[in-house]
Amino acid sequence: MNKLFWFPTPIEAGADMTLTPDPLENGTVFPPIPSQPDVHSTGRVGVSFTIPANVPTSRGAALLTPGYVPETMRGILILSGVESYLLVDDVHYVKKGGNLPRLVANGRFIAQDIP
Amino acid sequence: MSPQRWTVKCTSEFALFERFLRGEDIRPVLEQRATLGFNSQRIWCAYSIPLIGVLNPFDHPDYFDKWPDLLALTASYGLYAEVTAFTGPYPFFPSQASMVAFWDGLVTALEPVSNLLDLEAVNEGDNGPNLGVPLNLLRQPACLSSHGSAVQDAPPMEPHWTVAGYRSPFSEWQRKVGHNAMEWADKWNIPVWTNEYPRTDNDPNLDHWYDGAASSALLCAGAGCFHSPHGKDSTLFTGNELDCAKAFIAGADSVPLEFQAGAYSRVEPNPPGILRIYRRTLSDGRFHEVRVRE
Repeated sequence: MNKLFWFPTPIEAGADMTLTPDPLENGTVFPPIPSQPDVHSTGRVGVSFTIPANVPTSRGAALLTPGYVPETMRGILILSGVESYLLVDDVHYVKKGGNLPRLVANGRFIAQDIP
Repeated sequence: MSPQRWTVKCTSEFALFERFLRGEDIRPVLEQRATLGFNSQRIWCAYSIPLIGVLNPFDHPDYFDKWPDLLALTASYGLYAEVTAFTGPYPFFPSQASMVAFWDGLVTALEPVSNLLDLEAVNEGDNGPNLGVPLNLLRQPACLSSHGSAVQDAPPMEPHWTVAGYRSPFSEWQRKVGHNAMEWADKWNIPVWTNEYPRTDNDPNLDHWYDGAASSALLCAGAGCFHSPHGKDSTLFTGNELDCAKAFIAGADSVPLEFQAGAYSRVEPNPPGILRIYRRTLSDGRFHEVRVRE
């Protein structure tokens, strides 16, 4: 088990946060990990996420904060070393942009015109 | 090309283009909508309406050039757009000729864009403040398009083009958004969906949002257009509005779209607490039904 601390501002934003590690290439999917109120050893109040042992280090993860902006932050989850942390600004993650299939009428319904 | 069934899971996003033109960061909104499961947004083009805002196209010299830019951004989130040209009153258009020129500009800008759901001429075109659009002078685009919606439970604006948007009455809306839209689709043999639901602050009942979307996804061309206070100003959904959005998407996603091809029937009698049971049956006998709760 690893523990990741997070210190949201405002602190109440941490109440419903979840951390979801990205799926692995072998098909393993990790369920969202809920936050829990916690106090860091330094005395700083925040939330923590208890990360199962089967989550590997140095993989992508999404941190969801419902109702706050940014609602989703992506980062790389570092689980080795003295303390776990989420390296945000995940430059490896991009979205495919620009080209969705055109929509066409299909009788009384709609279809995507897939090439 | 091979057509793949697709249903409208839209949200009102009236002020999105205005926010984009102002240079605001709309990506959190797009991310929230896409993460929830919406696949399209209903975006308005020109308006001066309290609680929505003011968008005067003539304040922006690059107005038409910015439309493809916005839709390229929304496409990166997997989102299509229903773009609504006119909604009254019309302080920015001194004449009907200026409206026709504006429409031509939109058609030119948007026809080539692949993630356009449809181009809609007018919102509730026979509603008092929205009267005055010269529908007979607007050219029909090559993309999916409509003359627009009408007031509650009225026929969508005629003559119809390639799609149409319906507006249900409030009474038993959770069944009429799908069923009544289906009736217009059957009459005209074109895709029809309810392109504005009642707002979530008018009906916070999650069951209604689930059932409305499920029955619509089964019966007509789309689960429809989710409508809420933060859809008007294009900001993040919160609280009950967010829960309603989740219920709407869950209802829409509960229907396998292959059953759109099935024959429609209504199952009776209705058990206590059920308004209607709608069913579509495929030629092989398999069926899917939606029970719409009171």
